[in-house]
Amino acid sequence: MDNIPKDILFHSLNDLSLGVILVDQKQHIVFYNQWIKDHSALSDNKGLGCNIGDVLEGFRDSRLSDACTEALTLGLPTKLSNTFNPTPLALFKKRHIGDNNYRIQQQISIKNINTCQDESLCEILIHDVSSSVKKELMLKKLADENKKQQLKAELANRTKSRFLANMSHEIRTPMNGVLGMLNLLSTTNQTQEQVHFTRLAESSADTLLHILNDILDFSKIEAGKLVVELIDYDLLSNLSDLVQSLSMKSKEKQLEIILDVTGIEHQMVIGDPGRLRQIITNLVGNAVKFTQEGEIIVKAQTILDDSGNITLTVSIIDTGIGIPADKCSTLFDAFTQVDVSTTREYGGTGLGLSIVKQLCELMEGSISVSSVFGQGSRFSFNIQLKPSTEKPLSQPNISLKGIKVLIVDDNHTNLEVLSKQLCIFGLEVVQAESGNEALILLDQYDSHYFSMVIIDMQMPKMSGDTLCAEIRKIKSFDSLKLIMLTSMGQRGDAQHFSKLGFSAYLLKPVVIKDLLNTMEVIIDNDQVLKSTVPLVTRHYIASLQEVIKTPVAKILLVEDNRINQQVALGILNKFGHSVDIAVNGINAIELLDKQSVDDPYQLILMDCQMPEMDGYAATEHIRKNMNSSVVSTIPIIAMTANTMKGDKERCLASGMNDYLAKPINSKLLQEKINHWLSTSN
Amino acid sequence: MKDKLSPLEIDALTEIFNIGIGRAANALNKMVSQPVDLTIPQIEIVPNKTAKAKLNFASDIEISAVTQRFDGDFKGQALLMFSKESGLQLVSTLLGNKFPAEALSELEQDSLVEIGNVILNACFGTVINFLKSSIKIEMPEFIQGDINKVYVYSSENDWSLYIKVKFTLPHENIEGFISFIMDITSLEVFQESVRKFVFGISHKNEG
Repeated sequence: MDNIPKDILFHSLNDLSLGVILVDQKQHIVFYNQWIKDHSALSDNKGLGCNIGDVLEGFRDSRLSDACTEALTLGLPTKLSNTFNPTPLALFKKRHIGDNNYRIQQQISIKNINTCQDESLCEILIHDVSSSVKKELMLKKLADENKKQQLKAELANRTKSRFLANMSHEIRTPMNGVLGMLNLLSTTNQTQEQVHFTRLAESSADTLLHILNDILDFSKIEAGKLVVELIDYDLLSNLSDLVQSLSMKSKEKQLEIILDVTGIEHQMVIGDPGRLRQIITNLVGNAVKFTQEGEIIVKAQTILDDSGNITLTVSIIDTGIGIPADKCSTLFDAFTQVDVSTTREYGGTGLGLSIVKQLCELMEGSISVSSVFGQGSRFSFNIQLKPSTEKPLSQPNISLKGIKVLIVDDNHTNLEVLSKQLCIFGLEVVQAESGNEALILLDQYDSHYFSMVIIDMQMPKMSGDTLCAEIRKIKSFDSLKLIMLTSMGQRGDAQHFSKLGFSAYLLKPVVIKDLLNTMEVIIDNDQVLKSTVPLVTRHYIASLQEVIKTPVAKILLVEDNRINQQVALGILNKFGHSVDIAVNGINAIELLDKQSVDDPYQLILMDCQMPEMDGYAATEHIRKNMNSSVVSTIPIIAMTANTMKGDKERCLASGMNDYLAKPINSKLLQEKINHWLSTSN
Repeated sequence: MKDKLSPLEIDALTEIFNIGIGRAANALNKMVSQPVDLTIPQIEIVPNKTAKAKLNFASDIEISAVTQRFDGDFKGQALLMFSKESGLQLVSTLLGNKFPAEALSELEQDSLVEIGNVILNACFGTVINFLKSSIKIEMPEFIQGDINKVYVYSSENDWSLYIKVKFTLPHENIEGFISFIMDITSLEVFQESVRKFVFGISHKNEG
């Protein structure tokens, strides 16, 4: 290597596609190669022996000059990146020397080299990185643009959510007015025709509200804004209450809804009861809608797995029109119905099942359907729950253990379900499928063997009341208690059944808790019963359990919308509360300031969106700045039309105690008022 | 290693490195628009194994490092190390990037090399100026990988000069680590130079 001729080395240096400059200790140029000649003002050995700062613009006082000094004095090598020093030296693209638009993007290395004369030189190597810079600039621009679009999309999404929240508020406020007013209207004296019209208007408004809720839910799910709550609740009573309320609708069509909860082994669970209700309501609603005759079975069971999760499986089985096999797969897609004509005949948005499916998935479950066209459908879904450590609120007293009961019902499923449930609580059950069979069985056993007979009203050949009359004819059965189950509740029923000799009557589908309570009352309170009410009904049971009578309170209603004021006022007056109205937060605070010490407000109902001072600000003020402890601790219940994620949290965070979504449900309102009045006393 | 450095010697070493690193900060401030302050809160001479453990980089953490080899009175490898995130953050802050990227581009990698070069050169300059050592230093290089790829030494018996560097930027502080990995003989020479330097100072003060 050492003996390579100098001119070969010289040529190769000149052929390099990078700039080479050598300077000596005094920073005088010793050498520069052809590349430098091609790209700078230096040519024909001009500048050789001159100070580099004098002949190459950009060198003086630059980091490059410092680096040369460091290399020459301390021997430290330096790398100058393009990012911090883009174009330090006056180097240009070929044929554009002197034109600053064509300055070369540089990356420079500086190092010290030892020469044979024992004197070190500094070598400056210049790389042209123009094309890399151009490429990266383009990539960066693309990436930035991408990021900008992303931010824009996020903003648009937030705007959409806000729009939805606003729309929800805007639509719900007048809906609240309509529903509330109709509700009040129905309590006035009306002609039969007016009652009919009012009922139609109410049901239309109800439907509209359902559709609105569906659309809102759907958009919330789409936006990933729907949160599943995790609360402790009683699965059994949740399902019982739900099916009970759903059966109202089915009764119009004489359909029987049978709730089979014998497979439920975990009564207290952690999950979202509201969303579970929503799923079942939707599926049962569909079943009722598409079934003309027969029965709808709601069958639920829980299974605890090894990881400590509970799988709740619910099947809704109907005897309706069924679904053609080829439509089953698309059934859960949004905006899909079996065929367009169904929409016209049965109504609906086509969003229901899509929402149900997504709700199941949100709760880590799934849904499936099987159906025989013309014979009925079976929708099965499962969701994940967690076991709760809480005790069920109302565990029936097990004083009924060993009691012998005869159940008479022509519907086999019903018979089975009811028997199984009563067996769980230790009762001994004998089944009869008709009145005749019941009479034969009663005859076969000892006359005091059965304590009770549970009789279905609607049976072919011998109806429930006929059977009752037959039993009552036999003297030795005088102490036998009879309980009537009927799907058709009518006014005057209580008196009618009492006269016939029934001790109690309950509406189907029967809630096991209610049935057990009823049986207890009949057996234990024989005396009380005779002296008070002629017959035990569900309402009587409910009223027995109610400890405190509904209190009457002085309430401050803060609401800016005049119609909503009237609605709330109507409901509150109906319950006997005395009410003052404030039109916004400021007005409310004024009234609270001025209130008399002897007769203060006991509760505030607070609208959230109001002009001048909204409900959140007003609550914060009341909680923080009002001196009197009577005022600062007063229960405040929010009434809001916003039902988006976080609303509830926002209400509670501002210091409110509770939250009620509009349109105001009068029953729920009264429950909340009672709850907070009793806790604040 | 024969003897450890005394606390006074360590103090002196910390002080001269802080002077050197201060010069690096000056150089960096000339390069970028954001003010940067560099300080060395801690210097130690420890076995390589200990130094590696002190770095506290989990084995799944990606490290960006700048390295320069040196030879002469003592020989070894100097490393400036950041976690990949810190390296990215430092570069984007200094370059004033609006949207920090997920990885360094090739040119940005060069900027990290330049930053490392400035800092390591400052350390080398200190050693050469104060300790009157003669060493030859190589061009800086960029390495990326986990700790086992970046922090390499030939013998368990080797020692390193472990330096923690704190970068104080307008909105955040970033930590980097410098290690001079040396063999045992080099380290003895190095310590000897430190002792001579401290002796020289205290001698001067007495006189």
